[in-house]
Amino acid sequence: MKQISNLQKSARSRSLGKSYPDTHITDVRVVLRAPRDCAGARELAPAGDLITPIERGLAVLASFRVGDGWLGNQEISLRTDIPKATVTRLTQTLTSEGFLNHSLQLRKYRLAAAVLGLGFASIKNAEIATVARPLMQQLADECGVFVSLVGRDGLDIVMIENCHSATTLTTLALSAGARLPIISSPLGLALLSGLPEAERSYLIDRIRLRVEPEYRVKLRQRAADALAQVSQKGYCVSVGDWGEDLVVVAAPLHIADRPPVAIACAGPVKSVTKARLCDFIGPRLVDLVGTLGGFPTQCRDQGATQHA
Amino acid sequence: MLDTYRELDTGLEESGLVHPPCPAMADEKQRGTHTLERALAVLKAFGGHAGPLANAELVRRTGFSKASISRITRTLVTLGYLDRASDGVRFQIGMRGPLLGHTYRANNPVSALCRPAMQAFADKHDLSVALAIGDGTDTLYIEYCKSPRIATLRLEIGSRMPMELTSIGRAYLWAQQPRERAALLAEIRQKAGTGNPHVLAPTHRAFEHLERFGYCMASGEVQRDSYGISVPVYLGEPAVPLALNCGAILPAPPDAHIRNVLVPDLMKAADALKQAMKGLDSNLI
Repeated sequence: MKQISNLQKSARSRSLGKSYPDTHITDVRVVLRAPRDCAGARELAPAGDLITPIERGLAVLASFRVGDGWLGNQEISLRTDIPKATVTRLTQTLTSEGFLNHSLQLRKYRLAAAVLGLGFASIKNAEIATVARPLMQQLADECGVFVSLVGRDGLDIVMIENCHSATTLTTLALSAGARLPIISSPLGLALLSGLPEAERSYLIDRIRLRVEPEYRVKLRQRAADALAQVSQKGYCVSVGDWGEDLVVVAAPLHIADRPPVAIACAGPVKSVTKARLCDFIGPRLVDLVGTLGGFPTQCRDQGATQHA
Repeated sequence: MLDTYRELDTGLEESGLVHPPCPAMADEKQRGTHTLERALAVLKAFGGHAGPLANAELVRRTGFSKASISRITRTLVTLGYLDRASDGVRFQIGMRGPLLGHTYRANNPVSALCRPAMQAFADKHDLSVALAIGDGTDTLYIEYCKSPRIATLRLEIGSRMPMELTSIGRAYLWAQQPRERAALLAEIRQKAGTGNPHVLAPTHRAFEHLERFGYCMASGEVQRDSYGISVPVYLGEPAVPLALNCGAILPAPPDAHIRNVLVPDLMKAADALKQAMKGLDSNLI
């Protein structure tokens, strides 16, 4: 148990310290494209590029977190650092537009159904997660490891789906929706390895701007090493990079017309030896990637009828 | 019956109860909220789907100026609610909006309460079942269950469709209080403009059918070889009118099957939802 709590701690310390709310999500549609750094965007954007009322209004919506019920203006103001008078006006507007429900008795607000109209349908179409879930669970159970599917958002990776093994207690204590910087984990490196050359080097350049100078050289090395492993075996192995007692095997998964994702198996070094990782779990992971790579034709066919 | 509805909604239009889409704003504060409303309208213009859409298409869908659309999209990209598509020109839904939807579902008891009865119906009849709420003049699916054995319209939770085009939207309109219904009908007519004077004709026919039989049906209107059967449903306390539908992408089954099997069962499902949500504060819906 001690070991697990260490794993949890090390994984947590990497996931915290970010400005993102710690949201639990089961499905995330990971968006293709033009690289955009999420956390860095605010500093990079010239002043005046952001329209303040939009930023503040959306910040009010985003101040609601999983587990929250009703929130008052005061509380929202504290969470968002927006003056209470402004929050009051924004909550009124958002309520009249259907994005918040207002309780007259409590004089408080909560998220309302209209927020589903801001793109929720697009994530529910994430067939990758739906199809991958049972196969990931099978892999987790058979190998006694923690299996995670991640996608990229800006310079972060986001956990789309996690499966715990039924037989071991290994957990990273990261739920779906957790964000980690791409370079902080082998999952991010595997994901980078699956990208086209131009996109990968663009991303690495952007990441370099955000790390301490002494890590910059190491960053390219680690990315190149992961790429070499992936092109040779289809997966990359990491021992102790992520958490001290943690071994990880990760593989990129790129399906035509889908945003690139990566799948990883992680386990404590005591129960998962490196040999087992390379000889058994790695190849199983590559099989899984192959199986998943086989399904998109069917999805695309369904997609074609979407606007019929 | 038909005339009563017409009278109601034209009367309302004249009385000025229906707001023009872009009211002129006087002071700075109001302009601020107005900008926020516009940004939300841009996000909604994606219709719940991923996109991608170009600025020009967003201009067409929202009616805002090109300059204002490009400022809004730039802000939304920076905030993570939109992303640039792979061509670098068009936009698609980013990560933040879906996260809000997820938070809503995680904090809201409605879907957990409704799901069992809806899934049971879907499995029994091999159909899809949806529960919809109004969002402007669109219906928004707040819960959706389908039998694993069917192909569907690919409408899912968070999907939006114009009310007047679907059976579930028509049932939703019919379920509203006369005053709200009239306001919505007037707004739909106003949006359709003079180019489409008969936009509400199928809706009024559906109202007559609902009046007589308690359900309405649309077949092949949104997509060829698809059908939907909808009933109004009143949930929570005080009761909020919503609509429940079932459907599939198949030629519609024989009338007798619809009347004797599907409709009674759908009504039973509506009752089950009502029971499941009994006593629930309707502020939560």
